[in-house]
Amino acid sequence: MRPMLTLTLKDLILLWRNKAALFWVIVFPLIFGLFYGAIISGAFGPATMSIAFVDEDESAVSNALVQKLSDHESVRLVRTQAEGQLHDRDSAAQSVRRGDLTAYLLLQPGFGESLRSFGQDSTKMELGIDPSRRAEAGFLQGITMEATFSILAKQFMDPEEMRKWLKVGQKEVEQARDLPEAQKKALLEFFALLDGFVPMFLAKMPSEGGPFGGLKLNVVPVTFESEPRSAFEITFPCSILWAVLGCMMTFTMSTVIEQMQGTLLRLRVAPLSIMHILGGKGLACFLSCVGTACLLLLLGVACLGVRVTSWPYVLTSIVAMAVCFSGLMMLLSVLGRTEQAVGGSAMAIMLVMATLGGALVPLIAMPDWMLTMSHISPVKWGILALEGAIWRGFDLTEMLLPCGILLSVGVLSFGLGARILSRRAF
Amino acid sequence: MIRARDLRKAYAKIQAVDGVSLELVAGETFGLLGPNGAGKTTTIHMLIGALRPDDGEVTINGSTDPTRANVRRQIGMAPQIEALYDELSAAENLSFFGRLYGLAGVRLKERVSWCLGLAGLTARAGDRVKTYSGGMKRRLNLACALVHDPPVLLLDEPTAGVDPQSRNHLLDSIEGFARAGRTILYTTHYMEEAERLCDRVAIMDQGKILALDTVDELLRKHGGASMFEAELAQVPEGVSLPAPLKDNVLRFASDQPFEEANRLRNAGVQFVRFHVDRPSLESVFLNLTGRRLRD
Repeated sequence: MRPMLTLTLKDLILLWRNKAALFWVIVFPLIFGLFYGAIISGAFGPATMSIAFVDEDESAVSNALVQKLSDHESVRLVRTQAEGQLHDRDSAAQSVRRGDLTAYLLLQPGFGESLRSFGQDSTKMELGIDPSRRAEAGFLQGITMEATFSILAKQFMDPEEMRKWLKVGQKEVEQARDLPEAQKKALLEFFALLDGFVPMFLAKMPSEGGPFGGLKLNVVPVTFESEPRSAFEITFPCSILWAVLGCMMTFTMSTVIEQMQGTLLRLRVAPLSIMHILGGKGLACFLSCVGTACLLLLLGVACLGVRVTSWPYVLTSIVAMAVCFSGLMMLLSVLGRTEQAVGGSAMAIMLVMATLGGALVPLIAMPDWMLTMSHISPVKWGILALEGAIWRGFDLTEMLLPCGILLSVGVLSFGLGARILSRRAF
Repeated sequence: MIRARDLRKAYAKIQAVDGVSLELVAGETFGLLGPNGAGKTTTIHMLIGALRPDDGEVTINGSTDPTRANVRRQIGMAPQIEALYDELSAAENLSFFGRLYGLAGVRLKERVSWCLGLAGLTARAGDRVKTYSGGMKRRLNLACALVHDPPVLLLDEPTAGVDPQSRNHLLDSIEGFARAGRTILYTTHYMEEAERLCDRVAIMDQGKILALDTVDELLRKHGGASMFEAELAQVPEGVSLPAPLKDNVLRFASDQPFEEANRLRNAGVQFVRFHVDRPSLESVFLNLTGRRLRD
């Protein structure tokens, strides 16, 4: 055991002295957690969509719609004519196509008038969206319709506006050629009656809401506890994963560098078994994974209000993760014989694992096939295990699956990597 | 002490070592001389057990398993490349390797201090290796092989790529190890190093040992004749020269050049200057392979 600890201590000293590695192992994951935590918690302000607004109608109604959308916290409206950047539909569409804007909203001449008719002309309002931002586009459609209905509701609240609406209706009925005379007469009598009822009707309308007020949706976060949790609790599992991935990459590279610079040969001709050498390397990686994960977690708890539901489960998940990624380190280190070969392939594999596992792209943004594929990424199980222990409130049986997968991957990878490395000539 | 019998090792289709047999006796300095790619390093790696031979057998102090810890403790190896941790200091490197061989406490400190002195790095003991010159790294590389005070040293081209001053320092050190009774296996492609250091030399090329003997015997058997060259001032009438005179310069090959020079002087031939090129291991290699050592 003593030679193995000597090897482990040497590797930990080397890690401590490698400033670049320390950055990726501690500083980068911390920045990652702080940055995304701040975004989720709204510290940088709410996420907004930039929308170009092309007002060709320039009516009171179109102005009201612009004002309504501008007031929405999720929308940053670029009124093109006023800012002089975009002047027409084509340039607005260009900006959306280039990805500068999420969408453009075009109100064509006659938009305001068309709202007064009982069948709004859909060709008068056009929403051009960036196809890569479908989720936001759906949300945008919703708030545009909400704003439009809100304007309509306001118009119904105004007796004069209501009478104008009725007059438009009367006129359309009078001019209609395909309506039978009897029906025409009945409708005109109905409009005359409505005109008389307008003051009484409006008096009974609520000042806000009502039939055009839209549905109110109460959004609640679903967590183990009803109490809202810190945004950093959501992002720190991901940060810890990045720290562990950093450790894995650092030790992967150190293993291949030892092969190349001859120190591994020197170790192999020392009175040590190959398992001492590989065990020492694995133990150093394991300890650095556990150490950095605990350091980040403690920072989160001490400074950022991260609360842990179950410390034993958190420690279990950290140990399982450290085993998994120490094992993968051993396997990745035998992917080639040079720093370039191993560095390139290990980086590619790490990025695929991180992407599929939800450390780069949130799982929610993935299509179904990618979600299915994410099961093969240990990163996903690592995040799930940590989330389960920190804020999802997993019980023992729920923790078993991610931790079991992590441990299995770690043991198998270490065994395979160690077998290949022990047979390799230096 | 170390015996290899019919060692063979191939990498894919390349036969790196092809039937090498050799035996080192205790206290001798044995040289493996050959060009790059001759199979010297592969042979050393098989001797120490870092590489498994495809065929053949290695015996070290009676053990046929060179990977056993008690066998390894008797051997110190300086790899061809500087096998050091750049981010550790010289003292830390030596302490680390010493601990791997079971040294601890006062003994470890003593050995580290001795090795630092040997490498001429006592004043720089605490500096990280990455700040050292190439020669300093080479010296430390050799010192790391000695930290556990092994009776057997395997030195794989320890002077490759170092400046003349560091090279001389290294060669002096190795001569000192030999005088202290250590058994040394020394690989090199510098013939002058093999001539200076080695009791016996094996000439190796393309995975095979072409000749193995003392330096003198190798020269005698395979070195060819010495080349004698002299500028003559006067040749008396009737004296027969071993070769035609051209522009007053006499040039001929002979196994006994000094005896021939003496005969000419006794016959009244007067020399302005003369020069004898004795055969070297370079000429041994040339005669054995038809190629120069550094081709």
